[in-house]
Amino acid sequence: MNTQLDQLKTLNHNTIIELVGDEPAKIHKFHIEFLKQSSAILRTIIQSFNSDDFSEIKNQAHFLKTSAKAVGAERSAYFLETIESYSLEGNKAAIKQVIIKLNGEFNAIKKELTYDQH
Amino acid sequence: MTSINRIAKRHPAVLVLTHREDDVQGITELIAEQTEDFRCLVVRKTALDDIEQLAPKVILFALSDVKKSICLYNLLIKENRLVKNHYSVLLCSNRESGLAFKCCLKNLFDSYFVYQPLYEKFRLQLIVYEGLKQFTNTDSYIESLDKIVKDQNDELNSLIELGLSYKASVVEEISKSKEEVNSINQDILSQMPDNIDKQLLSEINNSHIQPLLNALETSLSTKLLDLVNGLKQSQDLNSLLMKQLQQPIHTKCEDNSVVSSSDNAFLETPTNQQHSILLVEDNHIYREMISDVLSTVGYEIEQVDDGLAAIKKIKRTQYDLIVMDLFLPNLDGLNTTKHIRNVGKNIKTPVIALTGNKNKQLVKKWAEHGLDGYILKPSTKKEILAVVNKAIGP
Repeated sequence: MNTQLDQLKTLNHNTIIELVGDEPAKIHKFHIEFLKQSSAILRTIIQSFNSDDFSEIKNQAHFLKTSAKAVGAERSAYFLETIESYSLEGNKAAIKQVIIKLNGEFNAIKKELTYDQH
Repeated sequence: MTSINRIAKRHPAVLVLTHREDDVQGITELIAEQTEDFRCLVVRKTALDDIEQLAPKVILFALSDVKKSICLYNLLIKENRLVKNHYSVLLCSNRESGLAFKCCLKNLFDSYFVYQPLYEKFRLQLIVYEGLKQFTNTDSYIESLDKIVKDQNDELNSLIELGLSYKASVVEEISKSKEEVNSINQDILSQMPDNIDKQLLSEINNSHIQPLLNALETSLSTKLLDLVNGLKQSQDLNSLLMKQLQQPIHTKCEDNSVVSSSDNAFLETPTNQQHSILLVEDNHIYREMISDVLSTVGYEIEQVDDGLAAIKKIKRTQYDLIVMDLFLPNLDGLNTTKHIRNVGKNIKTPVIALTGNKNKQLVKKWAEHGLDGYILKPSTKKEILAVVNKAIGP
């Protein structure tokens, strides 16, 4: 599992370039949109986690996984998929650990985008 | 011994066995909605004696894991502590559902239910009801279930009742036919000159005609149940559609005028013959990306974010292609496609699925209802255009 994670990138720029073309302004717009979306969805996931609504956790994680994959946020997509499978098991303790990692990953994306701008 | 019932009965019909009462709180609340004739017993050293005294008819084993539940049940059977025709239900976590399924398959338990996490509440009540049905006087339980169902939708309930009455009449007809066949056989047998032929005919009747009649009965029952389910789904869909249709409708011309005023450059340099595509995807980022890919090569794109909105669109506009996500709010891709294939202007419009790599089985099922291709998430621009161009054709 970890070997697989080690091979994934926080932001794989090739993925989004191959999807929308090599247009920095457009790509930047989608990255910012993704950060906004991830912040909102993460909040919803935590609310669902607090109310033990595993079905909703799974739905929200699946939803965000689509855009994570599209913008090339490979590690985030991996964590979201992990949350999906733990939700099916109802494994609350494991979900909590992955949510913490996912939050760290979003911060890493933010950092990477800020660094790219400079 | 402990009980959460207001009036603890000496011989409760339903007994829930657990190691910790907190673990089954959700379960006991559900059963309490159904019947007051139940108790929850925390399993301790005196459990075997306690259970024997309570003599429950339906026993739900919700110990901390499946293995412990099996051991306790084995011990109860071995020591002959249970009433003979009891109904046993194994409660388990989702992780142990495979094991529980195996136990039921081997007829150790009568049924199982996943209670961690607790999703299918009505199914648990149905299982308890099935257990209680084996004993006399289930009218009160049926009434409580009826009450739950009545809260849903009067029209839907009448459709279900209608379906059930169809089923009852067909089953009655089959029984009559069976009796007729049997009496005809009897007549033929009595007219037969010798006993060997009679025996032969009787054997044919038992080995061929009766099984065929039984199979026919089962098949008709299944089809009628499917019909009832279909009616139910269609009723849900129609109510939602009616709600949507009651909102003001914009014509396609109006939609086009909005597009033309905001995107003149695109209209001036079309590279495709203005093929129109309906894009159905709930994630707005991914939807924008796909729309961007397709509109830059000249396709005219209309976007919606759920299945019901898509149905509303396809009722009044004919598209050259529909690109649709599998998991959508309100109505998923599969059911939206079924609807597209049945009504409106897009019965023959190709549909392409947007799907993840893990949904191959669902895509296969979807393909049976008229899918013309699929785009894996996330694909490259080249891959997306290849699938779309192929589906639209020259």
